[in-house]
Order: sequence, then structure tokens, then C-alpha cells
Amino acid sequence: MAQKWKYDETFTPPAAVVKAKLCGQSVNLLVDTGFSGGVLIPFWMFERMSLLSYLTPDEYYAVMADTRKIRLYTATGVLTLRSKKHTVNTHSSPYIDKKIVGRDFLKRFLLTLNGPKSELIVSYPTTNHEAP
Amino acid sequence: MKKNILIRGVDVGVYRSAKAAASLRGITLGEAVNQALSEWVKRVEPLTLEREVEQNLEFIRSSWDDLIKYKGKIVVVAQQKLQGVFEHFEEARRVASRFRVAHTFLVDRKPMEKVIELGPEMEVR
Repeated sequence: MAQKWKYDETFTPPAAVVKAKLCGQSVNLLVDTGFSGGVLIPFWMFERMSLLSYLTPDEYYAVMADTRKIRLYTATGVLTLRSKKHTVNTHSSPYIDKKIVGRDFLKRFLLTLNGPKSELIVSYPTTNHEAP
Repeated sequence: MKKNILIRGVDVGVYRSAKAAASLRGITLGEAVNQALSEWVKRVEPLTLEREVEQNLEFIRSSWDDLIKYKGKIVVVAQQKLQGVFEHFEEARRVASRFRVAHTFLVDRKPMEKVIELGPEMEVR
């Protein structure tokens, strides 16, 4: 079972984006394999999803390419991909305004970046990590 | 929605320069105050939130020997206190939702510090 999305053409060049629901709200997440976390969303979205009430006790820090370190707020969110629910570490910071999905979530799937067809294909190899 | 307010104790020098600067930009003093206050809130609010998160974490670190007694259960920590111990996430979520900031987690292993890599193109405001 696989799911396909056309690359998002609002990026130049067009980029692979996963269209999902996070905590019940639709969200388009840019696939970013340089990001080692689960999902990163803008702080206003993190607050709107009330995720500040469900923070994890682990302290997460983001290290920027220039070695700066900033605290990330992290909560366990539920990401729905084609009706399958997956728990995911959801990070945010008032200082970062990005919607991305990183390696900690992507490692659960087989991903194909079909450049000539401008298509992202996500396959589900197992049912691990599904939310109860 | 707009509201007329009286602010006591404004420095006369600051008031005069703000009024002059607003006039030069063709905006009212009220508009200038709105801009200044929203910038101030944006700057200060994350620090307040960070302090609240840090205080909860400090409580979790210092009370870990007590919290670990609830291993396998879900706890809610908010306002530097243990707000409850629960069997199921649903009950814990109901209690946690009463607080703007709360740590809601399954008691298992000691909390850790973790470092996340961000890609090279990530911009920080």
C-alpha cells in the first residue's frame, strides 16, 4: 500500500511534501532529511493544537548549521496518513517558522522521490508505531 | 476592536519623542503604541513560557525519585506540581487540558536531554 503526492510547486524547484493531518488538523509537511526529529511546526500551530499541555519530559535542543543551540518544545502528536494514525514527536519553537517532517518519522517508511514525474511515493512496510 | 485607555507614569521625554516619530511616519500615537506593545509581547512571551517549562522540568528532575514510584502510569506536571497520576492517557489529557503548559507523560525512564539536527537551510528568526 503506497500513497503518492505531486511535488509542491510553490517551492522552487518543486519539493516533496507530505499532506497529512496532525492532531486532527490538515498540514503540509516538507520532507527534510536534514532534520533528525519527527515533525517541526510553527509555534502558533503548536499552540493552536494545544500541544503545550502535553509536553514530553525529555529536553530537546536544535543545533543549527552554524552551531547555535535553541530549545524546542516537544509533545507527542498523532499524525494521520491515509487514515492510519502514527504517534510522532512534534517539535516547535517561537524562533522557527517551518513545517517539516524529518528522519525520526520518515525512517518508518519507504520513500521514493520520483523526480521526472515530480512525485513523492510513501509506502508502508509495517504497522509499527501506529497510535492506539 | 479598539479601546481608549489611560496609562499612568509614562515618561514625558519618551512620550514626546514617540509622538514626534509617529507624526513623521504619518501614523497616530495610538497606532504607534499598538505596534510597540505587540512587539514587546512577542519578545517577552516566549521567555515567560520558557520559564514555566523550565520550572516544570526542574520539578520533574528534583522529584524523579518520587515520580518513578508511578512507573507505568501517566502523570501530569503543571505549575511546578504533580497534578495527577492516571492509568490512561485520556484521563490525563482531560486534566492537562486545564493548563496552558503541562508535561504529560508515561513514567518510564529518567528524562534525557536530546539534540536534534536541523538542515543547513533552516533559518532562525
